[in-house]
Parts: sequence; C-alpha cells; structure tokens
Amino acid sequence: MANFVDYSYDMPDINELLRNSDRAYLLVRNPSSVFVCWTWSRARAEAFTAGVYDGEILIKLSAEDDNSPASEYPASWAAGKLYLKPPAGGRICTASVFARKKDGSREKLMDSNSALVPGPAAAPGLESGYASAEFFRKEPV
Amino acid sequence: MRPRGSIMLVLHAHLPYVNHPEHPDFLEENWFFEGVVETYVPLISMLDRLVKDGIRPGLTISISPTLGAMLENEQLEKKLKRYIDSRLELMEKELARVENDPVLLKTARLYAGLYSQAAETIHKYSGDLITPLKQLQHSGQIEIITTAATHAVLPTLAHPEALRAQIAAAADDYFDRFNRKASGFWLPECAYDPRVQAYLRLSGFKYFFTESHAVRTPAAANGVYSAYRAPGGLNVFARDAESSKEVWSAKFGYPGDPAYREFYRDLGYDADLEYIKPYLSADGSRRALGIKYHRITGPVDLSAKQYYDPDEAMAAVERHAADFLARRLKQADEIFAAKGVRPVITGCYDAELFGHWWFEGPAFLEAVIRKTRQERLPLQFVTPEEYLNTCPEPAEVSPQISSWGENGYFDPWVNEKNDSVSHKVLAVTELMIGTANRFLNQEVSTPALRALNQAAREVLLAQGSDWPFLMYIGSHAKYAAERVDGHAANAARLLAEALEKRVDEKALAELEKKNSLLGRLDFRLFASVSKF
Repeated sequence: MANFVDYSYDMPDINELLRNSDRAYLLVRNPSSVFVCWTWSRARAEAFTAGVYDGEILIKLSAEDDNSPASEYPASWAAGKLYLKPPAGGRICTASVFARKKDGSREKLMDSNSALVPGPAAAPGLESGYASAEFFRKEPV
Repeated sequence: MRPRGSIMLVLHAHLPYVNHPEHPDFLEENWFFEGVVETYVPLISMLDRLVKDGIRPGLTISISPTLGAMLENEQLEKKLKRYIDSRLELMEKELARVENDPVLLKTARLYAGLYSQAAETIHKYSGDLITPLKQLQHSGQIEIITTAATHAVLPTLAHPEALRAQIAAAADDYFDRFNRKASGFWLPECAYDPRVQAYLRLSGFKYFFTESHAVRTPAAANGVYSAYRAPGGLNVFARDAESSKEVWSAKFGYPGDPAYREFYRDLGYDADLEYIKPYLSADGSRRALGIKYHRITGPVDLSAKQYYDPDEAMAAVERHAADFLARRLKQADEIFAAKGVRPVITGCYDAELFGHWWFEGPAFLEAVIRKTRQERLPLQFVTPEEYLNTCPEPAEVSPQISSWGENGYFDPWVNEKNDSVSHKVLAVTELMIGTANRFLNQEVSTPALRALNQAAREVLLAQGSDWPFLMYIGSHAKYAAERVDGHAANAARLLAEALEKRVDEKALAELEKKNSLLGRLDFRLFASVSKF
C-alpha cells in the first residue's frame, strides 16, 4: 500500500488558510544557529509584488537584555526562511523583520517570538545517548 | 547489605499516533503492532515473572499519551489481533518448512512462542494492555510517568500556550488512564528549556528528566548522580550517559554482540515472494515481517550473516547482565570515592529498543534485576518517588537548555529537511490560540465546542516530534509531511467552521473517530496565558 493520508474530506490548502496575517517565528537549533521563518498576509504579499517595498528585507536578531541590534541579515522577501548565527549564547533573542519603502525609509513589519539561545556552558558530551532513530530506521547503519 | 548505589532505570515507551480506520491495512500501523508484540508484551511478561518470583522490578516506565490512546483503541485492537493471527499462521508454515533443520527450528519455535505469548497476554487482559501496567503500579512494583500530549519537542514550540496545552493535556490524560495524578514527566527527547518548569508545576508534576549536559553547571556538584531541585521547586534527574551507552549503542554496547539477532535481515526480504505474499501489503511489495533467522555475526554484509542460535544469545545476555552490574558497582564506588555520596545512576532508554530493535533486551533487563537480587549485590533499583522520599535535600540547580538529540540541542527537529513544516505548525498554533481567546468566555454550541476541541487535538497532533524527525532521517518522510499538513489543515478548517457557525458534523464525527485521543481535551487550554 502506498503511503498516503486519506482524509475524510478534501484537504484545504493549509498555506492559503493561514494567509490572514504576517507571521515570523524564531526557533533555536543549537548555540550557533537559529531558524527564522516568516509568511505574509495576502495584502502584504501584494504590496511586495506591486513594488511598495523593496524586494530585499532585513532580518535583525537582537538580544532581550541588549537593545542594540547584534546582527542584521538581508533576505529576499519571498525566501520565507533563514538560518542565522545568534548574537550571543545564554540570552533571549528576537528576530525583527524590516522592509525598505520606495522613499528609502525602513519600516518594521513584525517581530518574532522570543527564544532562549543555549549558552556555551551547556555543551554536550561527545557521546550523546540518542536512541530514537533506531526504531524507524529500517536499513543497516 | 547496605546498597553502595541506586539504579533508576527509566523506559520511555512512545509511538506516534497512527490510526487509519479507513484502511484495512496501513503500513505505518505496523509500528504499533510490532511494538506490542516485540516490546510491550515481552516487558509486561517479564515484569509479571519477576513479581511472581517475589522480585520487585522497581522500574520507571513512561507511557506517552499517544501510545496509551493506541493501546486503548478498539479499531487498532482488532487489526492487532489480525496481525498476530497472520503471524501465527505464518509461523505454523515456518515450523513445517524448517522442521528438518534443527538450527532454524529452534528460532522458528522462538517466534511462534513470541506471537503466542502476545495473543495470550492480549486475551488475558481483554485487549487492554494498560490494565497490567496499572496493576503493577498500584501494587508498587513500578512507577508510571507521562510525557507531552503528542510528544512535542517542547523548546521548539514558540508559544507558551502550546507548552501549557501539551503538558496540561498530558496530566489530564494520565489521570484518566491511571486513576491517579502523575508525579513524573518525561520531557520528549529530553528537550528542556526553562519555560517548561512553570507549566509542569501548574499541572502538578514533581519531577522530570533531562539530558546529562543540562546539569553540567558548577552548582551540580554531584554531576548526574543526584537529584537536584530546579528553580520553582521541581526535582530533576539527569541521564547518566555511561550506563546508557552500554545498552543503546549497537556500535559500542551490548546489542552489537555477534550472537544477538540481526535486525535488518528479515524473512520478508529473504523468502520466496509467492510464499510470503499473504503476509505482505496489498500491493505485494516486500516488507519486514519481524521474523529474522540470522545473528549479527560481525561487520559483514547482510548476505553473509550466520544463523541465529537462541541459546548462544541467552548466554550473551547472562554475560552482559553480569558486566552491566559489575560496571555499576565500580561506577558507584568511584563516585563515592570522588564525591563522598552514594549515587543514583539514572539510565534512560527508549522502551522500544528492548525487544523490537534489541531482540534480547527484555531478557537482559530481567537478568540484570534477577542477578541483583539473587546474588545479593549491594545495588538497589529505585523509582524516582522512592528516591526523592529518602534522599538528602537536593541542591538547587538551574538546568541548561538541551536535549538528548544529535549534537545535544534541537538539530534533528529544526533543519533544512523538515523546516518546510515548522511554519505551518507554528501558524496553526497561533490560529488556535486566537480562536480559543475569542471563544474563551462565550457560550458555545455543542457542535462548535466539539469542533474547537477536535481542532485543539489536531494542533497537538501536528506538533508531535515524530513528524520532523522522520523527515530528518528520510524514513517515511512523505507520510510524516502529510500528517503535519493534514492535522494543520483539519485544525484550520474546524476553527473556521466554529467561527462561521457551520460545523460539518458528519466530517467532524469521522475525524473524532480517526484522531481519537486525549478524551477530555478542552480547547481553552490554548487560551492566551495572560487570559487564562
């Protein structure tokens, strides 16, 4: 049998359903990498395609206890995601998304959630006891 | 004899919720059937034997709410019975096929016994394997704990409301299943960030487990060998990597012994296709059947594996159990010499390693526990509550953000192979929170209430750790991505229906039947923390 999910009714397009507002999220991957993803409402996406905003947006990562932005990263507005190096470990970080208008001014479009980035003190040992992979792995390691 | 150390063995039993009543045979449901036959029944039988012989196992078992729901699901129970019956039928044929080969016959008898044992145990408890576990806990033989509602990696949930819902729903589910409040919480993938504490405490939990490096701080003077008190009052136990590695690792640990059964060589791939066709999927494609006649042998190609000998494997079990205990005694003495404390050695394992993957695992556990008692070794098996009732006041430690996943953080669940679903999970969670706020203090019609509660269930299911993990390792990745999409879409649609007062009750009823877990889940758990 093929692997598929047969839902009881036609599955709506989840991406369409969720296009009611701009959204940005920040997830921690490890002490040296965080994941930032964003999506646009229909209206904002139209503003980008109509040229109201420049196609290149700016993602700023800042630490909660330090108001000066620690790092800035350019991205295409349509990219939707980016892996970034956090400004510092052991601090709560937030990602802010900015766009440049035609007149050259910058507009802050949204902030992500905040997330604690691990500090260097908690570096794992060399031998992690990770076992979960084994149940699903059906071929020899 | 005064014990020189305590061993706390924690088995975390979890499978993702997979239930497809619309299909007579669904590939991923086999995870559950294999888990029951190869792990859960052998563990229950092992515990029963020990208790019958007057030996208290003193194990801690975490049963995830998704696994608990599947163990209680009548549709899956019928399919499980069919699965076992078909294997018994196959084993009858196998016993006849290999009757003149004494080596293969011994192994065939072993499998026939395995499936018979599963059938008998399921019959004995009228299909409900929660009952024996509940009885074992009630009589003080084991301690059962829970984990997040759908095994979400809690630090990857951006919204505090989602954390609260995962934890509070699990506490309610445990109470309904085991008729008592849960004390212990298994953090899925040992993934910790400081936000979880407040919600664990709110839901009445007393202790949780973390990965070793979570307590690698100067305040944790005894390393992983004591309980600690986290800020806010909960107790925390950290996993001992040394004792864990010996058990879980195929490369460095006992399961890689050449005498043990080889996992990857399976009758489903070896036998003549026509012969095994009745036991394969409807499309006739080969798949593992769980019947494996070969042993690990050594670092050789699968085709060069030698036949399995159950007696040799059991001899290895005895050797490894003795070695494991000797190492724990040595470890306890070294810790005492260095730190002046009698340690608690916390060994945490996925339960499914025992039996499913490491076929001899349940026998190993039984041998370890029996030997300790029979040889009057100065070691004791303790459960967390027992230990906390008798240990000195734990020192206060602030655990660090961490997990037991690859590289110690969240790489397996946040990476380029699965980040396409992250946004959907987070966005639908936000939609759920917004809708819960809107309906929080409103009178809600019965259909709308059902829709909102089912939407909450779908959101929780979308958050499960298993889907991004499967995408990461590239196993059943399409199915995993579809599950996230499906649950997110179901939730978004149900929320829209509730808002627009046009609930499709027929479709809702089908969804309630299919994704039937967390029976008394209340959508209000998702209301904003400030409004709750």
